[in-house]
Amino acid sequence: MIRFLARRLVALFAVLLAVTALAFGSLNVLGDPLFNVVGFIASVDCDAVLAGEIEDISGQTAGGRGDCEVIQAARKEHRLDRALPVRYVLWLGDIVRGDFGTSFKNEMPVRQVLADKLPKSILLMTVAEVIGIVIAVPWAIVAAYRANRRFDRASTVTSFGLLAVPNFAMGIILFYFFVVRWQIFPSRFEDTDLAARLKSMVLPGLTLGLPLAATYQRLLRTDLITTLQEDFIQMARAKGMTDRWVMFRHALRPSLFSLVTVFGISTAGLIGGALVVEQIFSIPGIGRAVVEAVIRDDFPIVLGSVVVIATGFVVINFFVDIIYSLIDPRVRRDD
Amino acid sequence: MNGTVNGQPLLSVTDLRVGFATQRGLVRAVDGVSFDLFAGKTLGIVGESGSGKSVTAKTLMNLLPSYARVEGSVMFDGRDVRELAAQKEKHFWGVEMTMIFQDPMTSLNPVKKVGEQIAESLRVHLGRSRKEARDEAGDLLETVGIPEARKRLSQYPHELSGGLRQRVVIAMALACSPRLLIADEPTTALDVTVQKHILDLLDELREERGMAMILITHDLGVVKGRTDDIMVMYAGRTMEQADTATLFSTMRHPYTEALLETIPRIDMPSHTRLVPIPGRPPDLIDIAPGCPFAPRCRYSVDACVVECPSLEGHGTAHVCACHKPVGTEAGIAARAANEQQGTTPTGLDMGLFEGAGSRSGTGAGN
Ligand SMILES: Nc1ncnc2c1ncn2[C@@H]1O[C@H](COP(=O)(O)OP(=O)(O)OP(=O)(O)O)[C@@H](O)[C@H]1O
Ligand SMILES: [Mg+2]
Repeated sequence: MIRFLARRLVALFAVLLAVTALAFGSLNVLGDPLFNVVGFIASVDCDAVLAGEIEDISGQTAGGRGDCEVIQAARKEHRLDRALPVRYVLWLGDIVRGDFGTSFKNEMPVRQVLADKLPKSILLMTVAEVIGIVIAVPWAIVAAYRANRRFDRASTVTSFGLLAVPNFAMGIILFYFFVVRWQIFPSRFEDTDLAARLKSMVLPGLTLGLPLAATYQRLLRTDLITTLQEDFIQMARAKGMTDRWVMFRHALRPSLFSLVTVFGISTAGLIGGALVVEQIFSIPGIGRAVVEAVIRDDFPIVLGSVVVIATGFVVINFFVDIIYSLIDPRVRRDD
Repeated sequence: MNGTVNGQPLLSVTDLRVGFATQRGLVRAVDGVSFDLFAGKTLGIVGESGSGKSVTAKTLMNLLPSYARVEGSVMFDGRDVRELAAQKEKHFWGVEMTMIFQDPMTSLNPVKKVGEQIAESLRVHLGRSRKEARDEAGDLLETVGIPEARKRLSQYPHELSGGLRQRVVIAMALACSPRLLIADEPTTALDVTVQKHILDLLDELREERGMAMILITHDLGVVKGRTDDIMVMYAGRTMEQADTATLFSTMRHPYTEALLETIPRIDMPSHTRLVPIPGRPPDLIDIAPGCPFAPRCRYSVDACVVECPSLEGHGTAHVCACHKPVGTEAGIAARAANEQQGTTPTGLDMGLFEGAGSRSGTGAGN
């Protein structure tokens, strides 16, 4: 078990390195970081200016070197004079120390932006996953217990229906009825206390959680039906165990694999869904922050968010691996 | 059916019929099976794949899917088993009567410790505490001959070999000291050497506990010398039924004879060819009117295709459903005629049997 965990941890760090390198590399190569910092003067050919061959664009500063000074200062500050791999390593060092840089646009530390936005998004995703699981598990159990009977057929239709509705449509429908029509829930995120926060999360959580519940229900139901046909289930029945006992003590645990796998993967999808949902329900979360940062070319914010989100995803899937081994002792084998 | 035992049988099955309503039609998996089993006795149920052995067993155990149609009566010690099933009786299966399955690799829950799986019966049925149940589970593992029994309690099934797993399954079945154990091909999935150990263990435990047993197999060799009675099944019907000694000495049904030829025997000349039964069992949906075995039978005559023979007595407690039983004048004549013809009325090529270890001519005593 220890060896198993150790191997998983090594894999976790390898994946994190790869993800951060990819994010850092692509943003640096695809975009022009200098342009993002200093604007259009980034295209000034400083070597020529310094050699006195041409004048720089603005030419306001004495000696005509103003733009080049700005550029050089920016280069130094953002380490653009170093090679990309070196920059990556230095940047990674900063990140590990908790320094995510500052926003290009408003000089706010990225860390502060993340600390402000992230908890709201995490709360949203947690509420969504909890809603998804809490609805899906009993639903799947009842459906699988009487597979292909009326309840099960009705749930198949219902779950496909839920999956077919896009997030924004679901969000708008819920918003219309529960906020506009019946005024049960607030129209925007209320950050006063935990109760208020949770209350503001009900509708967005349902918007993301209902399709999740449908997905989870489908998976768990199918796996349960397969498990219920196994010999060991027949054996448990032959031992005189009741249906309830067989379902909860024998069938449920070995049927959780697909559910747990997709639970891990779905967190990535949720981040996408959160963009839309945060918009509809006016939640100042990371989703909205990323969208705005991308539009405004706010490079450090985008990179910082990507790193945090990717780390979250990888860590969640690390726990998914551990959950596997808790479900099935055969996964734990040290070989 | 066993003349020497008086009184009520422990298990009495009368005219059991089981059908499955499928999209293709009604599958008649069991079609009029009857037998009695007395306390402490063993019955072997023998037949090829698909002959309805497992369905019979699962009917007794109330393990059939809900779309199964069951008719007939099953009485256990004066109690109507189907009635018990309808009332969802909690402490009958697993307590009075239990079953073990063919494949020990799949009959244990892979995610539960062996000890828990044995202990749960004790806790649910006998109300033992966690600790008592665990101790008893350890004792049971010892009883079934598992080395280092206590240590095994906290192991998972995948840590045990096939033979050990089947022993665990047996321990599980014995937990509440049932009066009847149904063993559905308990050794088919095991190595030959392990097979004998397991069968001997079952015999021993049965004897010790005075338990009755139904031993299901497709191999006549397995039941020979181990069971008190044998029922030979084909296409969901009883073909022949007798006490074991009688069945082996004076078998009457051509199907029983054919089954016997599929297994090697010590008394055979060393190069005797083992003959697989030609053809396949019939489709159980549209059953033709005649004897279901007729298309594969060396003894068949025209009448076999038209009229299904009923079970008839051949001396005490020996019944057989055949128009031309093996070893009778009629049977010998029918086979001789077919041999002369080179083919049976159903078009079976008699050449397939040449050189087989046939017993028909000898009549094998009486
Ligand atoms: N749940 C079911 N639904 C439909 N048909 C079934 C079902 N269970 C069994 N059958 C059919 O009933 C017939 C008898 O099956 P059964 O399992 O009793 O055979 P068996 O004698 O145990 O054979 P084997 O030696 O292969 O175990 C088979 O033709 C099978 O296809
Ligand atoms: Mg079977």
